[in-house]
Amino acid sequence: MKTIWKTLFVVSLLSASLATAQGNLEVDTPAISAIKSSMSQRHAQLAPLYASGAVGLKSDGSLAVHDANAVPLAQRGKLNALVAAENNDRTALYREIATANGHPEWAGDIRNTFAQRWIDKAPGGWWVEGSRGWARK
Amino acid sequence: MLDGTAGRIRLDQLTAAGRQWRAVQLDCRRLRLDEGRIQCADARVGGVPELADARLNLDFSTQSRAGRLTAQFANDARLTATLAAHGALDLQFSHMPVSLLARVWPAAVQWHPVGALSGRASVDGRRATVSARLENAGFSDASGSHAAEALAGDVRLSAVRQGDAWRWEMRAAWTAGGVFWDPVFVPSGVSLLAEGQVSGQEVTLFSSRLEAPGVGDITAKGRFDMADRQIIDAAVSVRRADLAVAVPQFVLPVVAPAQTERWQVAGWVDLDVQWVGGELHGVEVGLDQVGFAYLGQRFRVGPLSGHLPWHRDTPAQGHLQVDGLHWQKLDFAPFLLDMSVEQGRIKVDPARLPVLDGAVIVDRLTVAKTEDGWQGAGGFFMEPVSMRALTEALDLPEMVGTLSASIPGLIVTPRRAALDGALVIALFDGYVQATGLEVIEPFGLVPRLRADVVAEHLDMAQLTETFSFGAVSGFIDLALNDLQMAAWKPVRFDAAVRSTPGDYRRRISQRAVEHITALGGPSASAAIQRSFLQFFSDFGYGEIGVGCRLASGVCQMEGLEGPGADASPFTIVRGGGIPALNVIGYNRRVNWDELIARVKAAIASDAAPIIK
Repeated sequence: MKTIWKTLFVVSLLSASLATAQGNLEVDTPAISAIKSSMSQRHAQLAPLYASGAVGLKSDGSLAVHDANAVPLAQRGKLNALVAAENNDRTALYREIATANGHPEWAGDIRNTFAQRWIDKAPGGWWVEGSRGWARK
Repeated sequence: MLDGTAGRIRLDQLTAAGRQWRAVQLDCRRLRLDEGRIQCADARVGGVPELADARLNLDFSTQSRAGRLTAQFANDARLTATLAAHGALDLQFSHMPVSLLARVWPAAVQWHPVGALSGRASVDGRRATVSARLENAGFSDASGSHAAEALAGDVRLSAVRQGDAWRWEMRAAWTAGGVFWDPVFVPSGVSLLAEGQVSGQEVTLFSSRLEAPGVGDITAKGRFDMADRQIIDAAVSVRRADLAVAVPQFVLPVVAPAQTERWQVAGWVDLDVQWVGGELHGVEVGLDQVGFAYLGQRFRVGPLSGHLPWHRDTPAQGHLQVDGLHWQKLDFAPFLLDMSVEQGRIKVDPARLPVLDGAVIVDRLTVAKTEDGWQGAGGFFMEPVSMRALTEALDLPEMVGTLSASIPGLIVTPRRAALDGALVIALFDGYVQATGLEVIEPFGLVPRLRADVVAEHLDMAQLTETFSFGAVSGFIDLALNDLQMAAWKPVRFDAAVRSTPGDYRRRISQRAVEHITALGGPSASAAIQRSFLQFFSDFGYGEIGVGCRLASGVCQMEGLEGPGADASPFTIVRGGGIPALNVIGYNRRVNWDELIARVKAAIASDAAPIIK
């Protein structure tokens, strides 16, 4: 699963293109490295939560608690913390890629591009948000 | 008269608990009616879906208006209601499913209540008592964001009528299970003891005591206006709240969920809060051995103890004894902060924070509530700290000299720390000055720093000795404009280094020249070693000048001549005296990470210079 996700991440970076401009999503800076490292470390904790449906991928490029019932009661606080931390990192990632391209105003487009890629590449069984609400792939 | 044969009792309308049922009927297996006494045994109820599975036994005297009703439900649940002639009602219930609640209270359906309730309740005109035990209870909304599981607990409530008021006392214990109320999880182990009075719309709490894991011992008393849902006056005290439990459990999930796992907190807090005349009147906070750390041990504060008061109408004096303040390996000695606390503002008295062989002096510091939240503003300066001690504490190459700083204006918010004015550091016989310095999200994953830095008259001899870069005598000036760092690594700057104008000895060692040329790659380094210059240990120079404009990971370099075409050579060191040499750079576009790697490699190889 980890390999799949890492592959997804790399594929997203390499193949996604901006609608508004030819941005370099592959750009690497100390900030982007720090964020990617943080996200990569957290992924081991998130992977089972995607699979169980506790966490889903939103259409705006962030995560959301989809079904807290999939997690034992005492762990639901940690579930929230994980999702909040991942969303912080994702927002920072989109902003840093835009900044590294010299166009901070691209952050919204980069977010949308990533959002679509995360959803397209999500394995079957994960919950994703589409135009009609939540659906299981 | 009926004598015990089967029969039916019909009610056109039944009203109870604010609800109404029509055409209710009791189908009694044995019905006896005798001189105003109704006895209905083993009855089923029609017309009340909520009681469809219940078996009832009714014995009621229409003359004395006394009687007994017993209801037997599935799963051993049983309810007995006894009405005495003088109007006293006694209810006994055992294993009553909490899910029945959803039958009589439709709003409860969406919470899927489960569990069993056993106990007794009695009420007459002067006295009411309730004693109940809840077992295996729980509830959950559809998303599981508000839920409880495996709850168990006891409650005892008694009330006595005194004139128009009811005096009451209550004991409750929550003994098992847990509740998650997004975003906070609360485990069991909570007990409550309270007594008070209800009079009209006013509820008085004479005393109460709550004990729960992590929050210590909480006592409260006060008066409340139930009509306006407002506190009239009250006093709440918390004793020995354990921050190691309470903060991660109750505070961080609410105020900083994304950073719940980055902060570690310890120590104990006492808290007293008072309301008078419907307004918050005063707060007293006592801290005992409190400590907190961010991201493991990189930044640690504590133990600290002290007293922080706040009074609505008058300024109050508080103090904090800080016995530990650590950043990386930099340790401050214990210090005391005295402060004045008033409406929306904390003003810290001047203080001396000893560190290494010097100190940070807090000239003034005010923490105030602004439109953008809490903001700290102050002025600081430093009593000189020896660079030798500082660099050792920070795991940097040992430097000589002293560090003294003046920070006339510092503004700190949870998201940003910025200098209003200049940070000046005396270093290497010259000085370094930073202006426009700000750090955004210092506690975030990617702290960002911006600054403009200038340095003048830095002694190259000390500098090169410090960084084992060979030996260069003379002085340099540095301009580092628009410095931007992310995660404490540079991402953008416009830097220029130049020899300080003036008359002084200018020599550069063979080793330093090798290191400078090595930055251009291995072939450049080899070239000088093959030349006749290898016979000299040092050279005279006229001027040193190099610039780097960093952007997108690439350093665009220039020499003494200034900017030029990418392919054009540039002079880094212009020779002077005898013997003299020029150091020429050929590659104007250098990958920054590669450049740093080469600098590190050059310094690392310094122990074994090659002089052929």
